[in-house]
Amino acid sequence: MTKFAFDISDAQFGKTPAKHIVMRGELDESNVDHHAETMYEAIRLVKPGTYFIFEGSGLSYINSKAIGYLTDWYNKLNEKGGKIIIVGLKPTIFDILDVVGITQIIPVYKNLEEAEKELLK
Amino acid sequence: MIRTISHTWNIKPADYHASDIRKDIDAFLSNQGFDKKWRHRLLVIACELIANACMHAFKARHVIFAIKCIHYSYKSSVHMNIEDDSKILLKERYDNLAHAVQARRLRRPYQGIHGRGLHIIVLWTDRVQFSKKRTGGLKVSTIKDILTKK
Repeated sequence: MTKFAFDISDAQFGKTPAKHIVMRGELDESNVDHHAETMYEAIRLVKPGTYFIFEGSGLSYINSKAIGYLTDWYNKLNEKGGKIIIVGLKPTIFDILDVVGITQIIPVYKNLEEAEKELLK
Repeated sequence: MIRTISHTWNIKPADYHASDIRKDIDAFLSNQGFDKKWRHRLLVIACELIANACMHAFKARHVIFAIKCIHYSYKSSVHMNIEDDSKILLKERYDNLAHAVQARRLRRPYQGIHGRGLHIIVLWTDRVQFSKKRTGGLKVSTIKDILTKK
């Protein structure tokens, strides 16, 4: 199985409760089903309106199946009034999310400071 | 001068490690002189083709994946071919793929959970072709021309 980890911690985004999720490694067909369960469980347990902030500087590969899951997490979190924000992606990872249109659905920022500046105006 | 470099991988779907193949293909692409963006895009295209073939090749024992880079003075032409040795080709599989390629070209962003691999392949290549093998199984060929920076 390809190496990957989600490090999830509690955070605040402005006054909104948030989960800060650091992604490290590569997400592909060999490991994404396993890690998706972790995320579905986290979404199930959070309070309505919680933001999920994905920190992507440690993510070096993502395949189409993982992008499919990301869309599903977005939909599930949206149903609970929450949001997904992605920060710190490598240009190659941004490129693949952009070509499938994810960047039109999920806001992507260079870093957390930029996300706060834009979304907490 | 035209320079042609090619490499072929014989992959067993039952014993397939995505990260190992990815490292191998990346090593091959790293010697072709592509910039970082296209090196990664070609890697993604290759890995999506392989993942699809290994997942959907019905009872195939082998999946053969080949890359050929033809370097001209002004461009590089990257040909990828993948075929499986399945003895079964479901007609719907072929028809659905051909139809999906056309649909993906017309729709952006794509909202579904599945099918993004094909979407990526279609948008980052110039040509995608599916052909039914006489013995069963499916062959997928892609071509991408990348202009050489001067």
